[in-house]
Amino acid sequence: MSAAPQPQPKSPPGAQAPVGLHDADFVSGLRQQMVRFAHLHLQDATLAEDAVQDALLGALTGAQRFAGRSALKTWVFAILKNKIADVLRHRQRTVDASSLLKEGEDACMDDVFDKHGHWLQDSRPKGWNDPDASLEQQQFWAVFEACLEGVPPQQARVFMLREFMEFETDEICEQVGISSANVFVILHRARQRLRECVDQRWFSAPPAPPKAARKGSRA
Amino acid sequence: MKCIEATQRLSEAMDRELSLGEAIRLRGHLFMCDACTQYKQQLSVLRKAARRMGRGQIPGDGQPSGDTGKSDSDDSV
Repeated sequence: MSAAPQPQPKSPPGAQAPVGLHDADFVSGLRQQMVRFAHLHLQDATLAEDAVQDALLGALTGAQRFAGRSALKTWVFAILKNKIADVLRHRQRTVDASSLLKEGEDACMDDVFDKHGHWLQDSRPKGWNDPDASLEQQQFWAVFEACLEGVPPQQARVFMLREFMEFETDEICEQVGISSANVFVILHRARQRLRECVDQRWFSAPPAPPKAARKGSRA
Repeated sequence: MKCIEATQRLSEAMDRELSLGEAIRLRGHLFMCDACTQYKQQLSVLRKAARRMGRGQIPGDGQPSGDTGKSDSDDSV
């Protein structure tokens, strides 16, 4: 594999504390997160491991200094996303748009609307209580990942290209070989499904506000 | 505008710029529809969550998360 320099994000200016990549605990935690992330995208354990390995190696040789671990993680993930994008680019590009759309239909969520196209009473979205606090909880992320896995795979792929890899719509069209109109429909369905799942399994989960109710690492 | 269309439009607003007409109609709908207004906010929570995950900024390993300081949502409607 070529060691061509990556378009890497620059490290923040004024970084002082050298952090992390020689701290075994930190690296193993980071590694786990990376593998999960790569696996979600590539759906292949070996490819995921390889991408993570490459990214970590790249991070080590790129050895820069960062203002904190958080900045370091962002940077390492950016390298990982480049690796994943490379793999995806070499993968067979086109899918059959009609099968892609059909996949969404089975899982069509339009039964949340009445025949006039308005929300059914039971399905009306209700406010989510303090979402920012949820994002700080590990349990929330477990639910989020589980919900992602519930999105039909091709839809999830388009969603992840858009939201995780932060591709623009036209890049997705090129990558997946479908029209932008299709991309919009697919993203809409993926979001609908994900929203409903996160709502049911977290924000509106029966045993009271999740924060108080769930036992977890933090007592 | 119906809710079924408004939700599609709200999603699209995260991926492309709506035409002026679309944006006005959508805004008019949101003005009257609390459920779709919630939906809009929830879509930005989903985006924020996904982007954080994509930047490695989720809690774990006993560290605090999320100080990316970047704007996560650019859903201007």
